[in-house]
Amino acid sequence: MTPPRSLGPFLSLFGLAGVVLYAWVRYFLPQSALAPFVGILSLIFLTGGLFFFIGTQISRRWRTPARLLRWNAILSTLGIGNFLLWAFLSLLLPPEMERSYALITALAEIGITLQVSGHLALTGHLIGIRSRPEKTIAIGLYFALMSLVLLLNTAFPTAAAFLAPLLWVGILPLLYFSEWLQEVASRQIPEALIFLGGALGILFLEWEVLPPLFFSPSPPLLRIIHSLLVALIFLHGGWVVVPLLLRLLRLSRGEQDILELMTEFLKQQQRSTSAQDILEISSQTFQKLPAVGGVLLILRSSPEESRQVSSISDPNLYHALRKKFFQVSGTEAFVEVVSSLQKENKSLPDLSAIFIQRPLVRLSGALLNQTLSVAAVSEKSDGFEEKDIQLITTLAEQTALFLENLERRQYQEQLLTARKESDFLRETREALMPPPPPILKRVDFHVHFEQYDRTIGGDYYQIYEYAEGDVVDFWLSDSAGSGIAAAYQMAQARAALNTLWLQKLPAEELILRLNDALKRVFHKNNFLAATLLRFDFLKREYLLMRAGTPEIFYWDPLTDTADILRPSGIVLGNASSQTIRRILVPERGELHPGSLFMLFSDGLSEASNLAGEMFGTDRLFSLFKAHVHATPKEIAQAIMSALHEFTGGTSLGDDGTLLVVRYLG
Amino acid sequence: MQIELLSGSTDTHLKLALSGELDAITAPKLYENLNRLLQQHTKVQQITLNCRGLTYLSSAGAGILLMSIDNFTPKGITLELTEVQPEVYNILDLLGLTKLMPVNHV
Repeated sequence: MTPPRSLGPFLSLFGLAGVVLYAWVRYFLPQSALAPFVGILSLIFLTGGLFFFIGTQISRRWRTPARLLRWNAILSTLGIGNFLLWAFLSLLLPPEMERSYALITALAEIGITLQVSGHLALTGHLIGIRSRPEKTIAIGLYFALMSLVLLLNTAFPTAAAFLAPLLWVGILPLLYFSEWLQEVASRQIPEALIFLGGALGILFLEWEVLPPLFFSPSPPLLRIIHSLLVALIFLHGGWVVVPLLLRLLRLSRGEQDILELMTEFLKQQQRSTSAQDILEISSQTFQKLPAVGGVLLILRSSPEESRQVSSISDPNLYHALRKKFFQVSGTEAFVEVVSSLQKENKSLPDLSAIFIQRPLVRLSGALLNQTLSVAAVSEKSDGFEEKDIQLITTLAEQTALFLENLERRQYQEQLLTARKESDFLRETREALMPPPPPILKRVDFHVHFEQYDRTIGGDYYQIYEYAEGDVVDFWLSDSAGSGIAAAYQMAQARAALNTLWLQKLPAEELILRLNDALKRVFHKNNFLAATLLRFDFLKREYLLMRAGTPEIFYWDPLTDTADILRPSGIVLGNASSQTIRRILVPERGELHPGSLFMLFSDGLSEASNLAGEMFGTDRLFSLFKAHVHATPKEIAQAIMSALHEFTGGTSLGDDGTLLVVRYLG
Repeated sequence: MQIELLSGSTDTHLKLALSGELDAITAPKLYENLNRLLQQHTKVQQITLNCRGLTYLSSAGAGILLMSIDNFTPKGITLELTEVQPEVYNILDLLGLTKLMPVNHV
């Protein structure tokens, strides 16, 4: 219900008439008990009048806490001026001019009455900001209580003295309803404290310090309204103290909340397993911050490839926020606080925003080619305080760190897996290494065995002596493919070969049975290439079988000629033994003291240089020819040296095995 | 690796052109295609693979050729390679496959 606009001026005029009457009574009837009564009534009417005048004649937009407080302070200052003026005049009067003294103090009291009613009206409006029924009732009750105490004071001062504490206690609900204090407590605290402290100081000086100095005895109206003035001082004091307490409480509660929020954020992030998880958790945490109304998180790898989480429902705002990031390079890091988005783009709502962009970095310090962009939006313009900005940037930084750690964690897991695989390969390799060769009296030989990438592969060699040292087999084989699969085939071939060796079979039979065995265990597209060189010392002859391996080099000491031996053959483990028997043709020859053989796997002949050119059989044969008089070890060293020089010191690109054998006689 | 059925094919003689690389990844594809063609053309007695466009043959590729020969021969089907590049021919020769099937190089 809105009071009529004329109520305020009407009551005010009535009150003004009352104070004029008060002055008249004080001058003409100084001993009359009527004066205080008239004064109090005037005060009540003036207060009500000014309250309604402000409420009906002055726009609500104008009645901000800051303006009302400022008027309160101005009124206090004017009050001091009024008080000092009349007080000095009273000091100038000779003591016998009692009536003049009474008039001067009456005029001072009129000023005081006007001032107090002004204070009360302004205070009522300060408390009444954001009106609601219970608050209106509280203000009304206090006004009624105040009127009662003041009126009682004129007739029954003792009763009024008992009721006075009610006026002081009554300010507690008024303080409670002073909601504007919340805003003062959370913002502008230094300014508000200075302002309120100043007003309180002036009020205290005016009502508690100056009257005893200048007036003796105290003017009657001043004495009557003293308890009310004390309540006003209490209220002003409360306005100073409460914001401080509220701020302290809020800080304490806020810090506790933030601490819990951050702890939960860190706990959840530690359990996250994907970038999407991290973004989701961060988005939820951002939205729990009191200052944040919405958030957009983008993790982008390129302009076309990005993942994001958004709580922005306004499509116009969403596109504007995205655009802000995508118009700058992803390698650029920045934090930008925009106090009003509307100032930048008129089609946007009047909100404030924080933009944070942070390129992600690898453990090595190199850029990860990913960028985290965070836009946090407040629900109002200039909505972020310094502490909010710090908190938001910290959260964004933590999110970036978790994203970086995710990459690091995955890298460490890969590293661990690679290490396990490497350990497994190393142990397997050691288990699959050829057994130590026997000591042979009639043969000098040297083996160079080089595995690709120092892991395990398909090459295998073995020297096997039997028939009481009268027969020696030199075996060199190469399983199809490379790595662990080839190594398994090699292991199967090795087991089968060593079993067959125990049966002391003729060479052809050995090869054919090995083929049968491998055909049963190999997959259909796997095979084994092998060379078997058998020395029979009793017969003084050699037998050579080649099943899919490169040529064998031979030097005949009798004729001093080097030759390339190419016996017919085919790889083992795939074709039937009938087919193998048809194709496989062993080569036989006499052994002469000094006979030199060189067996090698295709890893040597097919080793390439940086230009992609293969070393080739011709180069190998030239080297062999050039070193036929050297020891097998020297020959192997010369060949391997030339080979590594050719490849530029890099790996051969495949397993490489070189076996040089000289019959000593 | 690409496999193309050539126009001169008949019910009894399939002519295919191979191009690209025959390695561990593409070799099973060749085997699947050959089997599928044999299911479609039940009277086939000869398969000719023109290898002019085949630039690389790995051991896995050679293994597939071996397996094909092993499967086709009992069924009376001959596998033949024509216009094989020298690098590929050397590998086939080294492994002994040139002795198992007709191979003509470029």
